[in-house]
Amino acid sequence: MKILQTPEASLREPSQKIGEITPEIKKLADDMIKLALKWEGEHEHEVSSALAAPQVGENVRMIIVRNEPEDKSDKTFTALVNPKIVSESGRLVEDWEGCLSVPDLYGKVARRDQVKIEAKMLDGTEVRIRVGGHLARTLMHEIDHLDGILFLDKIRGKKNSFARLQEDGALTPIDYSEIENQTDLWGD
Amino acid sequence: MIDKSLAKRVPIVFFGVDRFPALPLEKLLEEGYNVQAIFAAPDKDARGGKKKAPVAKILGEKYDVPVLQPEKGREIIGELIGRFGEDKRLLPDGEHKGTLPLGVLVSYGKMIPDEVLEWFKPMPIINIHPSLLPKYRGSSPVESAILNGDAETGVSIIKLVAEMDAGEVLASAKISVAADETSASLYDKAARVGWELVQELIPKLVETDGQLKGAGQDHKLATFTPRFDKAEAELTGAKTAAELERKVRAFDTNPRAFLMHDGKRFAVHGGLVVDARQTPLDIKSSDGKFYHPTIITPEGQKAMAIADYLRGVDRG
Repeated sequence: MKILQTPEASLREPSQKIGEITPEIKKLADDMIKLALKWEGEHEHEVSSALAAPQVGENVRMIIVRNEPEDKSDKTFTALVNPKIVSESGRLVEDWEGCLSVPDLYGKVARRDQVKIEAKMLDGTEVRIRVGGHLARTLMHEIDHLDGILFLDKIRGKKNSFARLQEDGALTPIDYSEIENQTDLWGD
Repeated sequence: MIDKSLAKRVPIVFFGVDRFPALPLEKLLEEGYNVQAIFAAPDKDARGGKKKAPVAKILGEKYDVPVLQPEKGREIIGELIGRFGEDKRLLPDGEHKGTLPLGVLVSYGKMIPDEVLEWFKPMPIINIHPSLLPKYRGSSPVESAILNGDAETGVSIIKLVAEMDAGEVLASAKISVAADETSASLYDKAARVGWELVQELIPKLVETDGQLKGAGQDHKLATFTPRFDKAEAELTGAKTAAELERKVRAFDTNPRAFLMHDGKRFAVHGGLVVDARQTPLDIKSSDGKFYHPTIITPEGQKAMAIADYLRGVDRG
């Protein structure tokens, strides 16, 4: 199992609901966590804060989210099955997002800063979470993956919204024309 | 009594076939069922900048059935409405249709969105799944049955629902897994048995306007099979040589089992479990036994017996 990158077509496909949380689904969550941490080990300036199952080639509705993304030494994640956005509210905030499936490219995406989500935990418990700030953004980004949407697709055509990660870890804005016709990004 | 000819009048919308044999579609077309549209995967890029058409498209063109190849699952609904009109119950001239379209899906490779399931109601989209559900949901039921050394698996015909492979089972049948079974041969068996079941089901579904009740799955018994990628088909580090032998049979199509030797890649098509090493390419496993490949494809060459390969190596 590996982390898929654009232009892999299945990243642009929606994922199916999970009917039953089987031991294999739990193993998939474990494998996703391992892959996210392995990826982090290979990317000095970035943190694996979350991953969605379609990013590892399984088009099923499950995501894993880092419990403490501000603390690289905390390597624990929470898995959410069939997560669903119940409502979005609050201010529309623009901030940078990156994605394990889109190497080195970052984008400034506008999202609401409050979100209410329903999901199942791996033990079957149904939860309803209300979160704000960056965690809300992370969850919305991951749930977009389950609908076959990458952050790129949300800001396609926006001129001053993209940046590239430099070797020293800095984000340098890029001209949109640089990526406008880069077919391996857009999947069409 | 069930009217067979009615079964042949029901408009069928077919989805597939990606990783499954084309036999069910071939039979529907050959035997004169009313297949009105085929949703197939988009053409794939092939060597020399050419495009390769999926087998479902080739069949559709042969039998003069419209073939639709949307890139995205979300485009399906538009294609259906374009083809059948806003109200699928009415013909273009406003007259009522006798029967509503039935969906048949065999390894389509794309998720069917909820609005498409809604569109078909009260008829279902039926799906041939090559396992005895709820066992082996997911992408690799055939491969998993062989990997696990099952002596028996099966085919289920289910109603497609939003949850993966979780719909009511309308029909099912067992199939045996022979000791030399490969995923290709097991897919073929599943396709033949699956077609038999579908053929019996279509008239029943037409008779009941899609209301035929199936058996609910016991979701607590569900198991899930993953999508295997190429890296997982490497023959290495197994507990038993028998496991490697099963792996070669499970991965004889895509991905194909392979081993690495002296930095070169060899696709493996068949082999045996042996007690002592016979060739440098044999793989030792933790149980002390060896997996001895007998038919291989060295990188960039054709398939050959390992003895022939080694003779070639000896000649330098």
